[in-house]
Amino acid sequence: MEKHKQENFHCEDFLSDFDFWTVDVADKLARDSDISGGLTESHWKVIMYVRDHFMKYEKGPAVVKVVKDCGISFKELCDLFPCGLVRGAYKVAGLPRPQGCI
Amino acid sequence: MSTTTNGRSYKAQKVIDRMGQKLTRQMVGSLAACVHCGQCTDSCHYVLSNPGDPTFAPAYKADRIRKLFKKHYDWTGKVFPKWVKAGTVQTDEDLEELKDIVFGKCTNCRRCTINCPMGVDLATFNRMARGLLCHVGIMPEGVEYVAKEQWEIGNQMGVLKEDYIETIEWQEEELQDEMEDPNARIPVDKVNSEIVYVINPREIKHDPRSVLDAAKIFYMAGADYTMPSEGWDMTNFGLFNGDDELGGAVAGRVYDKVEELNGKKLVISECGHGYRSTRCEGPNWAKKDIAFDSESSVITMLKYIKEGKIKVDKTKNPGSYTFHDSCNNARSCGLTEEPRELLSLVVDDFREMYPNRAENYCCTGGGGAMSMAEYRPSRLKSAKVKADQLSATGTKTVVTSCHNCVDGLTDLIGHYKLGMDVTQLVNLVANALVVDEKIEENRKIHSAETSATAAQ
Ligand code: SF4
Ligand code: SF4
Repeated sequence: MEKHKQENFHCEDFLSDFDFWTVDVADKLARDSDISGGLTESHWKVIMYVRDHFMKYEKGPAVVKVVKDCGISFKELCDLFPCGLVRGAYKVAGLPRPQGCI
Repeated sequence: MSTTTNGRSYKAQKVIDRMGQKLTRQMVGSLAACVHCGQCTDSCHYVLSNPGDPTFAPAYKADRIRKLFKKHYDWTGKVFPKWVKAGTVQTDEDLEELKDIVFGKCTNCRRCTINCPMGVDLATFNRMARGLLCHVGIMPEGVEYVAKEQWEIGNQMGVLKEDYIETIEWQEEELQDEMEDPNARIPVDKVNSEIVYVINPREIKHDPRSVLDAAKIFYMAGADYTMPSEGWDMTNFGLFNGDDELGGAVAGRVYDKVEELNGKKLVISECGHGYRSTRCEGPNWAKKDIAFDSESSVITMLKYIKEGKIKVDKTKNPGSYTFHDSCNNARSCGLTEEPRELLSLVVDDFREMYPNRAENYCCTGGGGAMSMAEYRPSRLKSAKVKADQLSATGTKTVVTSCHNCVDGLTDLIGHYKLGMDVTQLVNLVANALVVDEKIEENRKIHSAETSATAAQ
């Protein structure tokens, strides 16, 4: 599929363009992020929250916001996204790779 | 492109003029001393991972900066320009090319420095060259972005104050639950504390487990400490973009807050460049005399164990471990033995990687490289030597005292499919803590309190 082409992925794994994101792309990104068994409703809740935050503030949300606003524990977040908030949730939500010591 | 009367671009002229102001005696020594013996060549991880490409050699890269010095500031360049390979920058494209060398082909790791018989310190004048380019707006986009966040918001990840406070409160609740002590605290802005504890914004923004782990250690040690509500970011992009003003502003914020709180000692969480910037370079950049002590949290944790303030049980950390020295900790600050001593106290199976200590290879994400997306493919290619060094240890987990190395190593471990985990000493120490008795005690006190309330 066109949108899965490597050039659309910045830094090898993160999507380079937020608007390239589709549900299919999210599925592919999920497989790349060690999420086995496909995306569930609990994943989608986090993914949509992260996307929404990025659209409003052009940044991914701090982990405290994700945990509180999605009503999950940090452990549950790590179980959903084994690669963590950035390499897991941000990535599957189609955010570009964040800047800084990451 | 607008040019000056001599046909040089304004930016190129500015870089040359400013170089004159930035050259220190130490840099001039380094710029003049190279005898092109080539001994530094094999010390650089870029060379070792890209055999056959001479453009990665430290002396080659250094010569791109050295030629400017020879041409414009050294008498030999004026008298024998050809012999000493004096040269200049003419256009903005020349500056872009220089940018790709000073940001994209060197992590300022200083491994070549310690292997040079003439004492040439490439990383120091490479940093200066970065600063000259940043001053005229030529730098990787990521570096510009992060520097801006640090200038404007006060921390490199743009964490808002309310998110910082909310995260600490959240971790305080976790601490109370784990310790079964509703009175357990992570104090913020407590005046006159023995310790003011400063961290890397990554700990707040993405993964607060290290905040909780440190809090558990402080709790078990009965430490008198506080986290500051401002000036809590001990990282410093001024070290990476060569801007002493930014370096001074960021470090200055930390120092001012410690003074305001009348803290006795500044404890810096595990971060190589943060430690170097805040403890070693910062006072100079900020032009400030520091009246309080400072130390790495590695030293603090080690003291707690040695003084019997905390008890640890290494069987709680099964598995095999190796230790990666951060360049800034080991080569620039000499922090090599304490982390090993601490690691040996909290794990049973510790195996050195080779080379190690001051000779260790960079995680390949140093010098701000993690924020320079455009050089990532080349960075990962240049991580081959690091990947080989890690896998030769045959261990499952690599431990490091640097947040940036955690991310650099995680990236290359994924890229080379090494299947290793990365962790820090704070996580291992917290995990090894002997807490059962304390929790039992808390449980008793708490249940006594509950029944007393019920009886009222
Ligand atoms: S080892 Fe020192 S003197 Fe020799 S080429 Fe390298 S920088 Fe120059
Ligand atoms: S400082 Fe490190 S990365 Fe830069 S040239 Fe020297 S060895 Fe290579």
